[in-house]
Amino acid sequence: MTRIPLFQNLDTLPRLNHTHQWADYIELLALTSVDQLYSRGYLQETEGENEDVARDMEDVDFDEENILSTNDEGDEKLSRRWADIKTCLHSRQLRFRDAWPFELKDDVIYTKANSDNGLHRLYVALLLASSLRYITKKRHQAITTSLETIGYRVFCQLMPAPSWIVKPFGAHHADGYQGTLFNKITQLAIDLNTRCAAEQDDFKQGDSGDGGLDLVAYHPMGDKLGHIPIAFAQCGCSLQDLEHKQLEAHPANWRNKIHLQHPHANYYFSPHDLRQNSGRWDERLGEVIMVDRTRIIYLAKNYTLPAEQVDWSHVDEAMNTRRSLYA
Amino acid sequence: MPTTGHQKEIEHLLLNQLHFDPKNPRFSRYFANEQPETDIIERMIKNENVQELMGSIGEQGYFAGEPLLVAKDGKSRYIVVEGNRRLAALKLLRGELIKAELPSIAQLRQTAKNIPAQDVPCIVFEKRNEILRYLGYRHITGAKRWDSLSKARYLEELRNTFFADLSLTEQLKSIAQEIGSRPPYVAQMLTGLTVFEHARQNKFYGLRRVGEDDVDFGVLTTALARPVIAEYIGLENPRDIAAEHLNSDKAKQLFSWMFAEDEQGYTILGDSRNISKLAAVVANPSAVTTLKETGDLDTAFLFSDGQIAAFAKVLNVADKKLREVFKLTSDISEFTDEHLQQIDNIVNLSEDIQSRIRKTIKRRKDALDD
Repeated sequence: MTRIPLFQNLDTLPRLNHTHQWADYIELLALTSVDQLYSRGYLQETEGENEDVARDMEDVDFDEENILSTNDEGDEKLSRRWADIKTCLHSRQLRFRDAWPFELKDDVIYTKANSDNGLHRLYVALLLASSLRYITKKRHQAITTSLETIGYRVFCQLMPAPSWIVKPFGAHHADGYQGTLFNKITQLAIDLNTRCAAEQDDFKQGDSGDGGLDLVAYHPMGDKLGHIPIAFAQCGCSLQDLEHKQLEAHPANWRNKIHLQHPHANYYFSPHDLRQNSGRWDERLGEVIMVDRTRIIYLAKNYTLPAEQVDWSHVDEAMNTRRSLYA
Repeated sequence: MPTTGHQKEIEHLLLNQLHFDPKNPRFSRYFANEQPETDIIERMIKNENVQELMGSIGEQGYFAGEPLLVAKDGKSRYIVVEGNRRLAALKLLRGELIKAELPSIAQLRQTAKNIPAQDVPCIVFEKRNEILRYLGYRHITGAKRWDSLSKARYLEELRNTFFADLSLTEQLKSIAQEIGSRPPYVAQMLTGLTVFEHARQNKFYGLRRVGEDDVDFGVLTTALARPVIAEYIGLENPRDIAAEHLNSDKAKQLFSWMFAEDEQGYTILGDSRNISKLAAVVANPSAVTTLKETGDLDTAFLFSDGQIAAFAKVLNVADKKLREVFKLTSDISEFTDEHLQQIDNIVNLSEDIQSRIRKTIKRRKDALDD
């Protein structure tokens, strides 16, 4: 049986103007290139050929007197873009250190991904989850599920057993809550020693989704009286949906489903490296504890997540891809 | 475009007689004076995507209508001044540069339908300078462009080699004509080069983690094209090539804001699109003080006039877009409930904005009356 290819549209440039997303694109091309490298010269060719220019480019605007000729301006744009990407990649080299499966040297990014290195595999898993635009649709589910697994592992370390209990709430976990969404919320209410605020009729018949909640953690505190520490978490791959998805597990979204005596903490796991080159968040964040790529890798290093827990076939497949740009 | 070789005849030279230009402006930033051939080839392959050209020659054959422009360098040795990428592609296809082998190179050689002949069509010039003027047309405004610093260094070379006797205005006009661009562009590039060289000669003002590789010349020239930024560091304007009053302390500040990295590789400027914010900040002394104190561009921007300007700009864009929507409504006959819902949202948001602005204006008036 022929396997569905993992990658698609790798010749298409990113649509949005987030530098970290462009840096991801460059990393992906270096990772999959037959030469295991990528540089400015290759991007120049791709940009020249590619008509799918960034949709929401926010360019530096010039006074009329200072405007450069059209060709000059196009060159300066590419030059600035590459400068931004390079700054981002250089920052990643410093931030992720040995966990970064690349090396930046003299304007060339080299792949040094090692499949025996658990942190490299984790990084590649996050890179793929950030790059669904370049992944064949039928392969998306394995990748989004892998992000939930990563989130679950990290969450378990943040809320350690036996004091804390961490359970998956999402749709893809056999060891989590089962049944329809209403059933799952009812079971959750029992675990949290509280009651359900929603009625069965509030949900569509047969709705077995997760209602915007992937992970639940709570500390029972030795009794059944409620009023306990609780944390909800959501995982999401899409950058465009992040603005509203970060609040899906927020108390405001759950008050009408479950009665909690105290607002729970709202966590969000994003595979993206959500930082600007100035070190600020790249997105406007609401009331959320954001765990982005930098933090996931930091936590994975800190808690030394076992390598065997990062073992997905799509990661190996990506690391073994050798794509020829010319043949 | 300068005339080159149109009157000269095409000669066929052997590949092993042809050598890479050790003064190629494309690589000037990486090598101090002479450029070692092995390093040039490695850069051609890894940085300049010579494989794309190999693929094309391997598929279509070498296009003899575009001869290499070469300069004599001894008895039977020639330097390729124009066509170094093509030279690399030809040598790689013929397997003459095996040392620089990458999997893509081997693949391209194996799949090539046409392996080029040993002899290559060339136009021979006595001196490198005779070809120099043609490069600008091809690599600044033509098909295969250099990066900004290479361009600037080339423009400087043109200026010193061919136009040194002219007045500055005439120099700029002549160079612009040669490369098919405009004098302000040439002036901005040369001004950027003056500032860059000043920083380089001063070892980038002793700033930590700022070296030649860390300063992107394109980003620097983009910043200096802003009159307020140019004036901040003591230039008369963005086209002040001589930069006689360049203020080293202010230039150091600018370089530290734009290029100095902290331990995590972050810079105060961040992405180059923030140059607009930086321009707004340097235009306002209290914003500059805030930037120096906090090292935070967004915080400093709050103290500049830039926010009001940004608000007015966005408001104008919204106004323009709404007018476009209004125009389209006369052409469309079928609207949906979703359209109506979106318009309701816009109306509600507009009312909120209106109310907020009214309250702010009223509060200010009341304060004045008191």
